[in-house]
Amino acid sequence: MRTVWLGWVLGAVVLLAGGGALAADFAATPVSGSPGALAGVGFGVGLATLALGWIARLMQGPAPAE
Amino acid sequence: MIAIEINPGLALLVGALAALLAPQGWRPTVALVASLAALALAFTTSFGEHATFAQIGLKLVALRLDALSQTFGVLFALASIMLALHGADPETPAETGLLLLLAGGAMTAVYSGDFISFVAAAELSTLAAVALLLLRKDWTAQEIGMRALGWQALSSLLFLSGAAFSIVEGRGADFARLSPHTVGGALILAAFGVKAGFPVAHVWLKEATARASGAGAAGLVAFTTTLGVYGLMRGYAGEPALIWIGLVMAILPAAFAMAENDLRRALAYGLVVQTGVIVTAIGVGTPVALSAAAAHAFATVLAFILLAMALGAVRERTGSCRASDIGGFARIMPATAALAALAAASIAGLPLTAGYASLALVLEAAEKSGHAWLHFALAGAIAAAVAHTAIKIPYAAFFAPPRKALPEQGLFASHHLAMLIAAVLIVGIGVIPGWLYSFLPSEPARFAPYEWRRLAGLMQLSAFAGLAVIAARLLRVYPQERPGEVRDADWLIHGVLWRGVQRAGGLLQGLNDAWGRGEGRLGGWLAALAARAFSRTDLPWRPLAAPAAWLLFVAAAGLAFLLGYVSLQA
Repeated sequence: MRTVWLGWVLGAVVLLAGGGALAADFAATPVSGSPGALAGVGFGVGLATLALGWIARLMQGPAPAE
Repeated sequence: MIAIEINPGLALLVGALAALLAPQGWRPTVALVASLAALALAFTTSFGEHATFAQIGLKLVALRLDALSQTFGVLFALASIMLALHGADPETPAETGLLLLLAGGAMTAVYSGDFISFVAAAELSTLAAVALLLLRKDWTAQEIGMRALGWQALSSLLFLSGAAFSIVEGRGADFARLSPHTVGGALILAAFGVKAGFPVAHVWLKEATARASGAGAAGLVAFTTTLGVYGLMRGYAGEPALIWIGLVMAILPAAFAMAENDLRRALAYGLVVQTGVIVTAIGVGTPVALSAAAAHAFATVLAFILLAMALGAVRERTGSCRASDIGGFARIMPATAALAALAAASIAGLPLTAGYASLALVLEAAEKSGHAWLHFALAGAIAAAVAHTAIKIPYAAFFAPPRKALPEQGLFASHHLAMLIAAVLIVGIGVIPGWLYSFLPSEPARFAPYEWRRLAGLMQLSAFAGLAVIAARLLRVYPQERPGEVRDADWLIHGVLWRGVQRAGGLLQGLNDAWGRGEGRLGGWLAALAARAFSRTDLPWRPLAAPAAWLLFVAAAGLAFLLGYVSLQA
C-alpha cells in the first residue's frame, strides 16, 4: 500500500510542478514564445489520446489465446 | 590508453558461441564476461577505419569507429550487460546464447563500415531475434516467430538488393550517406524501415514483443528497432520523407497503445511512438537534430528495457500481461513497481531522467527547424506517450486495484540487479546529461537542458497530459481495460494480404496441376507414337521408345529455341 500512496504523492508533486511551471510561464512572459501553449497541448492531446483509445476499442477483436 | 583494433561486437559473438556450448550453469557468467569485454573494447578502440581488406573487388571495412557508431555501440554493450544479469528464460536453455548473438550481431553491424560486413552481422542478429520466438515451447510464439522471419527475410532481401544496386551504381560498398532517389538507396531505406518498425511493418514488433520471454522481449526492444534507427541515421540523415514517416509513427499508434489490453503489446506501440520521434529528428537532419535522435535512442532503450523487464517479471508470476487480468503488483513487487515508475518518468520526460535530457534536445531541434507545426506535433506525440505508455502501463500492472488474487511476495532476483543498472543510468544521465552528450555525433556542448525555459515547457507538457488522464479517471470516462485484441494493420496483413497470398498460391497450384496433367497426356501421346514406330523393330529396342521420344521432343524444343534466339540476334 505504501508504494501506491507513494505513487499518488509523486503524481501530486508532478502536477504541482506543472502548475508552478505554467504560472511562472505566464508571470515571466516571454519565458516561452507562447505562454501556456505546451500545457494546452499536453492537456488537449492527453484527452484526445483517451478519446482515440475509446474509438480504437470499437475495432477490438476477440482476445488471442494466452 | 591502449587502443585495440577489434570490432567490439566480436566479443559478444564469441561469447554467444561459448554460451551455446557451455554447461547451463556457466552460461550467465559467460554472457556477463563477454558483455563487459564488449563494453571495454567499445571504450578502448580508437576512432577511424581499421581492419580494411579487399574482397570480391570491394573494399570491406570490418571496423569503423566514429561518434555515431560509438553512441550505439556503448548502448548495445550496456544493454547486453543488463540482459546478462537479468538471466534467460529457464524453459529455453539456448536463450542466453541467443541474446548474446542478438546483441553481438547488432553491435558488430554498427561498427562495420561497409554493406557486406553490415548485412552479415545484422543477419546474425536477426536470426537470433527470430530464434528467441521459434525455440519457445509455445505454439503461438513459434507461429509469430515464422511471421517475424518473413518480415526479416523481406528486410534482408531488400537490403541485399539495394546493396547490389548501389555497388552497380558505382558508389562501392562503403556504408555512408545514401540517396532514396536511387534504386539501391530506396531499397535499403525500405529494409531499414522494416527493422525500425515503419507503419505497417511495425506489426512484427508488436507480436514478437508480446510473445517473447521477459529477457527476450527486453532484447527485442533494445536491439531490433535500434539497429534500424542506426541505419537510418547513417544513410538518410536530413531526408525530408523521414519527417513525415516519423510523424505517422509518433502519432498514429497512440490510439492503439491506449486501447490495447496486452501491456507488452502496448509497450511495443509505445516503442514505435518513440522511434517515430527519433525518425522525425533524423529527417530534420541538422546537427542538433541528429544529436537529439541519438540521445533519444539511448534514453528510449534504457527506459523500455527497464519497463520490458518489469512486465516480464509480472508475466513470470502470473502468466499474463493483460491489463484486464492483473493489477496491484506494487503490493508484492514494490521494488519492481518503483523501477517501472522511474522508466515511465523517463518516457514522460520528467526532470532528472535520461528522457528529459533527450526530449529537451528533441524539442530544441524541432523549434530550431523553423517549422512551428513540427515543434507542436512532436510535443503532442510526447504528451500522448505520457497517457498511453508512461501512465497506462505502470498503472495497469502495478497500481490499479488487483483483478485476481495476488501471488506471494517475491524475493530479490538477478533481474532486479539488471533493472537497477538501467535505473542508475536513467537517473545518472538525467543528473549529468553532459556524459551522454559527450558521445553524440555532434556534441551539443553549449546545450543546457535545465535552462528554465526548457524545464517549464516540458514540465507543463507532461504534467498537463497526466492531469488529463487523472481528470478522465475522476470523471469515470477513462477507457476500462477489457479482454480483446486491437487490430491495426493486422487486418491488412493477416486479412487481405494473407487471403491474396492464399488465392495466388491456389492459382499457382492449379496451374501446376494443369501442367502436370498436360505433361502426362503429352508424354502418353509421345510414348504411344514412339511405341507404334518401334513396334516394327526388334523387341529389345521397345523399352527405349518412351525415353527416346522425350529426348527427341526436348531436342526439337531446344533447336526451336536456338533458332528463334539466333534469328532475333540477327
